[in-house]
Amino acid sequence: MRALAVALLIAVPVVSLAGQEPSPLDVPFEEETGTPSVAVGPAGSGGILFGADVGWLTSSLQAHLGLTSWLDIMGRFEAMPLYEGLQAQNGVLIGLRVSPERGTFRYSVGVAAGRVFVPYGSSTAWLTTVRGETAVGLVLGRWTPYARAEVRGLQSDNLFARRWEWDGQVGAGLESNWLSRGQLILGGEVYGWVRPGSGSLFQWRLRVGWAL
Amino acid sequence: MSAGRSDLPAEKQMSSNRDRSLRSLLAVALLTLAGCPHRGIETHPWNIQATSGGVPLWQRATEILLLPISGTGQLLSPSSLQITNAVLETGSGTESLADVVLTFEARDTGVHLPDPAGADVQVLVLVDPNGKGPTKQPLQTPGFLLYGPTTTGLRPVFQMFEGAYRPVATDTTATIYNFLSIPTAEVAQQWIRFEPDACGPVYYDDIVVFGWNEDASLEPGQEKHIVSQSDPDPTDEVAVPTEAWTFHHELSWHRDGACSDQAAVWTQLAAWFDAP
Repeated sequence: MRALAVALLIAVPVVSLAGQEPSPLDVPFEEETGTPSVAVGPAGSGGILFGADVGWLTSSLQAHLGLTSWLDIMGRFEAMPLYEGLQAQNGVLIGLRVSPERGTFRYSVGVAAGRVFVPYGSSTAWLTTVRGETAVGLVLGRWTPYARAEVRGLQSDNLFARRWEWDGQVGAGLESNWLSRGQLILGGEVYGWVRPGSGSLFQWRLRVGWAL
Repeated sequence: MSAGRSDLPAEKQMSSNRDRSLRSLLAVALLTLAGCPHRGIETHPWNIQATSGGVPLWQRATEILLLPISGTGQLLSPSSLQITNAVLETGSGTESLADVVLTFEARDTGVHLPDPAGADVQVLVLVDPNGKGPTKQPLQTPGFLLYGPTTTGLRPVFQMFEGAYRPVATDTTATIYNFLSIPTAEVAQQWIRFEPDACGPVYYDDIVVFGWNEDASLEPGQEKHIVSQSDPDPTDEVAVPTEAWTFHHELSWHRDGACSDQAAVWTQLAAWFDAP
């Protein structure tokens, strides 16, 4: 039920906005800024992109700061609030993302590293994680369909059995830009959580973003 | 020609938009409900049975203990051993038993018993009248250790264990901990791979086997050869010969949150002697 309530809260503005008259965003964005996109970037030099994802299993808060017109530094906190609150795997990551294109065709490559913590009982397991992600998208006026793939490594903290576990995500999503400069970003994504040896699981996320 | 939407009265158009919005909301709600998949870990116990004359041996116990039984061993199938002329060692002497039969469900794991071919064998049967399985079903024979004929005499040749225990060197599980000392093995709790079960995540665990010159870590489903000491007593100052074992880790997991019919932990393994 928590999943349903949150999804509805996010869906309401999407449905409401979909019923409105076309906004000035139907005209092309300015060349210098480009259409903001959380999924494929870039944030732009000095620009900031915020993103809040709610999904199953993982939800996240992320911020991208544009170091140059094509390079972002990224911070992300992720957890599984719809599934287990903060009682499952929670992660704090920092990374870099390169997004060379600002036109209709976009692509990005990012790397990140951080720590995953899992509270249990009165203790907490701390794990190291690394990520590599790539995304491609097409900016078509207000709409940006994109595809995304991510490889994730997680290292155990057990001294007697320290090893890496690898999995991945492969998915597709759609973002749309609203308000005068397209600074409000609404979107959704479906993806497969690909786990060698354990099969894949269908996952989804809904996104609200803001570009400064 | 049918009338376009723009020809509809304003009130009807608003109603139409509301209906469309409601349908969209309903679709999102249904998709959301359908898109929260849970998945547990399929666990298939060995279901070890040890009977004498058809009567389970665990009925002789009121708490977890090891029953030492010796006799003549004969393989009935790769997962079934019969011990004739069976004798149970008790604290006060010995007791003759009807034929003892040890069986387990190997499924397609490739685990199979060695064939004593009518030679003398000894088996330590681990019994626990209160033992539970992964769904808290009764599982009163968590394991056994088989001593069989080798070129160096009667010695441990096969070991099997399963149970909703976390074997550590504490009072409650000391019996199991000691039982797992040939070769010495411990569950290594992990938090890196899990299944999103309905009552909380279930994390896959590894098993660490402590070898003679190096330790081996086994993920669920893995099997490794390991060289261990024939005498696992680390305080023994006498140089001890080493021996080769194959260790099979079937499955181990622990839960962070469990439904009432779910065990909190599970461990399932087997090991067999390769050569001196």
